[in-house]
Amino acid sequence: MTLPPVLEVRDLSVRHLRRSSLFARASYLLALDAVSFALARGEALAIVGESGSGKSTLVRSLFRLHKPQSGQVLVEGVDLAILSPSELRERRRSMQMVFQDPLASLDPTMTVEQVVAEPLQAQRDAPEKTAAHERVVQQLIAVGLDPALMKRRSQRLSGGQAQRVAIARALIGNPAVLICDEPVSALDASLRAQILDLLVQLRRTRGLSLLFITHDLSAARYVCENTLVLHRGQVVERGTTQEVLTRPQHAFTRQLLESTLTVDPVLARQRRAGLIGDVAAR
Amino acid sequence: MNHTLPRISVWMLAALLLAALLVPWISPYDYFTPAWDQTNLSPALAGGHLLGTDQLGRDLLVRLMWSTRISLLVALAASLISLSIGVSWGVTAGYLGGRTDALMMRLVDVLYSVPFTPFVIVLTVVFGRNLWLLFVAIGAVSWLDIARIVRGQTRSLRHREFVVAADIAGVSPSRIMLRHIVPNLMGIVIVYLTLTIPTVILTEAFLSYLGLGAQAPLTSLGVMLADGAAQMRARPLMLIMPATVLILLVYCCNRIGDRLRDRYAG
Amino acid sequence: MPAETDLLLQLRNLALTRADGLQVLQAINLDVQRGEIVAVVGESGSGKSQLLLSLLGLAMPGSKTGGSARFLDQELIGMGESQLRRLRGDRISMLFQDPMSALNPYLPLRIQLIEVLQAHRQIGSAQAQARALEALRTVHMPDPEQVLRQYPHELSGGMRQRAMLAMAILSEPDLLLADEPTTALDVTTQAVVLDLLLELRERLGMSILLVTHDLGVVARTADRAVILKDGQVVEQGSALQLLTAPSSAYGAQLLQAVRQLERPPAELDS
Repeated sequence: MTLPPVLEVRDLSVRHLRRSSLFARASYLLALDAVSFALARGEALAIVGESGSGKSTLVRSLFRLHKPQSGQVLVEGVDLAILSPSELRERRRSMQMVFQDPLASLDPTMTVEQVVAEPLQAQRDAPEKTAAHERVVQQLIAVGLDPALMKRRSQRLSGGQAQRVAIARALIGNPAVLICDEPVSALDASLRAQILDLLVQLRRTRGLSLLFITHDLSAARYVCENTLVLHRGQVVERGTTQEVLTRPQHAFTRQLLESTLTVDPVLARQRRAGLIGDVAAR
Repeated sequence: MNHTLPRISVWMLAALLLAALLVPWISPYDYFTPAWDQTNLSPALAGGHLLGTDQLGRDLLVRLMWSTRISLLVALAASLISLSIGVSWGVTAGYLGGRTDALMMRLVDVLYSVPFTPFVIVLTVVFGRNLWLLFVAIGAVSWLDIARIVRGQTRSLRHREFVVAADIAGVSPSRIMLRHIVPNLMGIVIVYLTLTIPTVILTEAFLSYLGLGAQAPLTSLGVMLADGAAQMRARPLMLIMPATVLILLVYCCNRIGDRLRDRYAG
Repeated sequence: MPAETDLLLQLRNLALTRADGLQVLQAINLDVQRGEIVAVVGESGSGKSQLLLSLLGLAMPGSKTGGSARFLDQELIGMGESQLRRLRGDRISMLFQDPMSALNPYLPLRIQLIEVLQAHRQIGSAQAQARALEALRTVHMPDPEQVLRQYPHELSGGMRQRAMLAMAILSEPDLLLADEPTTALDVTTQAVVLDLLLELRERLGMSILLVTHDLGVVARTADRAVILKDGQVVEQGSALQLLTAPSSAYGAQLLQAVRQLERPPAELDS
């Protein structure tokens, strides 16, 4: 590979100040411990972890909403730490994000059109009104929404619609990387596959790189060819998704696999029996 | 819980507002011209002075309506001043956070500890007595509460995902405050506006009563209360009437504000 | 398997109408045998949580409940508030999705657990505490003596849900109503709590009516399942049947949506 990765994280460590009471001595919690990975152009990488694994800290650090203790975040080869606030804002544009709770990520006072057009208006070379409107329409169609929804307030959308609007907003500025933070776990099961399908399709048509943060191994497998498992701030496992799922090396990964729910009744009974022995193995 | 607006309060406030608004056009008298042949009339249906006249022969009903008008005007203007300062101050401090926040809020703390009445007296000594000074004095003090509340709300809004999303999308801080923070504060701001107005009405009455507010011949509820208090024994009605209007005004605003707070501000 | 005649809960034509006239639940028929785990499956807006609440007389204010819900030999629908209160937390317990909001943040767990017991029984503090410890051990709570002294925020999510579960089984209820009990938990914790439910059913012989949106939960825990859509039962049968050959189109669609995720698209497999 000669091209530099679109996103690279080198030895990133972040600690949080933790104080049990006002007078207690400050102690630090290491939220991320020397995490490194690279995301190549067009790659889809899953970061799998549970609460407290450091997932959210990682996401925030990627946008420099947290200052790391040590380590670097490089976006298209540029270290975020050396940028001025306005340069940082420019640079962030090549990396956009979709959140877990679609309704919370849309301003309740805004219409769909205002939400989707906002990143365009924030650009230094903002397109004029009709051009912007045109791009919003195209973008809504691209994520499978009826442009007639444009004038609707974001709070009157269904969960699935709202998540599509959030994806449209993230993609309107043509970013190189899309970071998805649990994009389907707040949605009903019947909508999950649709949204994941949309992500897979957008990735293919736009050559997008995906960083897919999830607790759900099956969603990771559905979207990403590579997987990295985060546990207590450390990378405990990495490789192709296929490898990680079939030949997990770390005990935590194995536990995660064992715990993952399945609708396959035979497999479900096996896993149940595996955990509590012969009590329920009837 | 019952969240419908208290209907009686709404109607009563509307009637008072209407009277205050329309008085220059509906009254046959003005509030300042003395009529030496009609001084100290008692209330009567006949004779054209429903509530009687004062010691200068001015119609009391008209003066009452004008007083309501002036008091409401002061209240509205001062509330709007305090709201605009309070909201911009609170949003800026809350959104920027860090050292800016600390500095701005310490200033609020300092202003909190300035005693209000001596402050106004000093102002009147320096600038002379006038109504505009009253606006500024009241507005300059009552924004402190709003700034604190707005700052707190802003700090929680700041971590909401739609604000983070805008930040990530490259929207500048000033634009985020304007487009995302302020619109989402409107509910609370409106509630506090309805709760600030009655406080300001009372403050105005207090200052005018002391002679620091509206100056003769201009009238306000505070001025009328002072006039009435001077003749309390001879003509108790002159005290009771402005007092009733003041109580009604403050009560209705508070009722409506409380109910709005239940509904919009949790 | 429990004897077929041992009927614990019987719903007949259960209906719930909201104050504004909207039919939240229509003509629900459902039986729960003693020792059985029955899942109520539905997506958001299906009325599944309202079903549980209406059984306890806790449906939204202003709404009307109709039909019949027999629990052992008592009719729950139309039962007086004081009688219902005697049943709640005693013969019937409830487990909520978010343990943090169901626990009082200002009281140590000891007081909250004892309170539940003493609300229903004449029991001394020492005895109640012993019972609370026993319940915490039953749910495999590590270091139960310590936990009794702690406040809810000092426990992890999984530990809190265990504490809630301990609270729910204090009175050895006949029926546990569980509303999405594992949705807010991590994957690994979720599996542990679900398996704990299975174990408790074995040890205490209680029945569980389990509301969930997740067919994976059904596969892991339930004996039978009911699928709810727009307040109506669209399918009802054994969990195995539902997960292998659903009889309704909606059931098939739900299952397909999950299966699709468990089996990735072919082009990514290579």
